[in-house]
Amino acid sequence: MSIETTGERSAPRPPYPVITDETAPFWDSAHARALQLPHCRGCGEFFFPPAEFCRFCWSEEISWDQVAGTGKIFSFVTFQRMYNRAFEELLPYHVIVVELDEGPRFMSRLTGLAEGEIPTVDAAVEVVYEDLDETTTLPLFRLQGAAR
Amino acid sequence: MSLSNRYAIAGTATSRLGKVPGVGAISLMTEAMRSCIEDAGIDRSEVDGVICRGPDDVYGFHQRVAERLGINVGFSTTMDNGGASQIMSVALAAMAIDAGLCNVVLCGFARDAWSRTHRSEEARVAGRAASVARYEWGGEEFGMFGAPAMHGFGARRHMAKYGTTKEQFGAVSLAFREHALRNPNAQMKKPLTMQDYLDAKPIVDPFSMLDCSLRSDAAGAMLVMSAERARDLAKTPVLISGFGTHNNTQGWFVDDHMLTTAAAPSSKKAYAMAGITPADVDTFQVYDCFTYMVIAQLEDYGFCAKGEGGAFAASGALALDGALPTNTAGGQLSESHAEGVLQIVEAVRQVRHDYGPERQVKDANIAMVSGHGGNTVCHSSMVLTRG
Repeated sequence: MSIETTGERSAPRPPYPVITDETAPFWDSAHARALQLPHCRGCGEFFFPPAEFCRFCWSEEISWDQVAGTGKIFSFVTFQRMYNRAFEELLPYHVIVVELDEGPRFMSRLTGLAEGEIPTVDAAVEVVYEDLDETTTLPLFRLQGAAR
Repeated sequence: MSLSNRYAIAGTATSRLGKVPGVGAISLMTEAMRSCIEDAGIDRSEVDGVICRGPDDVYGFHQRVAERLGINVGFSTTMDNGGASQIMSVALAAMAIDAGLCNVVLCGFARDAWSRTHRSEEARVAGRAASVARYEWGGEEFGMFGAPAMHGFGARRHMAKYGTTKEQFGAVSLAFREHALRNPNAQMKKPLTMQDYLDAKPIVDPFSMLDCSLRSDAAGAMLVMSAERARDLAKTPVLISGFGTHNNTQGWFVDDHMLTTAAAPSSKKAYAMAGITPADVDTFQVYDCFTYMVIAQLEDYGFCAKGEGGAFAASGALALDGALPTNTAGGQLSESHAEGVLQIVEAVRQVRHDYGPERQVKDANIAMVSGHGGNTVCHSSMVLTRG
């Protein structure tokens, strides 16, 4: 089996985001380090996942607008067993459901924890950006007030 | 006119369970269906409907099953609502008969999940991740993989909001293992202690190996016909008294679906159709993909208040002689995982009083069965009554 690498990391290439016409603005905004989500002009709600019309009021007047990048941990799990070799060196790592202050919830990974530090439900988090390569960036989250 | 008690399960069976290499899901399905027809004591020429489900990558599963059974059928389809499908197959059978489309319907589910994931080490690792097509927001780029993690979000939130403990999840795992030890066909045969549970191999916290259902080669089948016709057969008919289904299709992350699942509205419909309350249920055959989902459903089915499912499980209520004997064949955690079909089989056997005293729930006349799945948001419920 051939193993692709990202260069510096010795681990195999991780799964990349599934980037389609509908999802591209999310990933482009993460790459620009200014995360945007679909924002309904009809009812004012941010929503997720992106769609052609607002799932709350069905308005088709949607713009992609920047979010504050702050929120809280709605829930989290801690991976202790390898599912994919690309993540082996990160074990154990925490995948979170983040609830942004604007409302939407989606998955990300918690980063920047001190040794032995354990996340909690409802803990305040903020976005940080990690480049997979020169065009693709993951919006990760860290606990607010974490050491920079 | 309500369908309640007008249709019945007249026969049931499983295939060999657990590790059945070299067979495949279609053969497991036909093995269970053939035994099911024998259990009912009819000739296969009377069967004119097939509603079933197999692995997602087998196109037209129902057709291939009927082909091997050597029958043409008036009504035939594959169900696609994950672990909620199996109860829906039985409900659809009753509806199809009521609509005059058919008369005697074979329902069932089969999978060969153990064989598929044990061919090689690569298959073992790949098998841990979800076997479904990749979804744009499935989170793999963040390291998110598999059903245990998705359900684990709910478990973690329940622990944070209600103080549910790891030992309470363990009580579920231990209760079902104890039942499996009484079932000679169960995949798991070793006794378990709480220390074994707490020491089990970590998977994705808060779940370890013993919080997660099994990978199994397994199938189960039921034969549905009018209650009137079923009364003429040798076995005691099992009446389909009520069913319900609900789907939190807006998602697991929306509102508080992780804590109050689709089981709540689904079970309400089933209770109402059957005209019973939770206190009337003699045995609960619950969809136990993960220990937490049992605790959530104990609450959502009204057997205890929201937030008290952990304490309820730890009280010993789930034991064969407990207040609510649950998953009396061992469940998906210890008998075998066949997406909920074995729960229906066990409910039928319990209310028919098929077992000797070592496995029989005393005076079991009403069983509640649950089915859950479809990426954590789909649910179905069924009340089965001794006819």
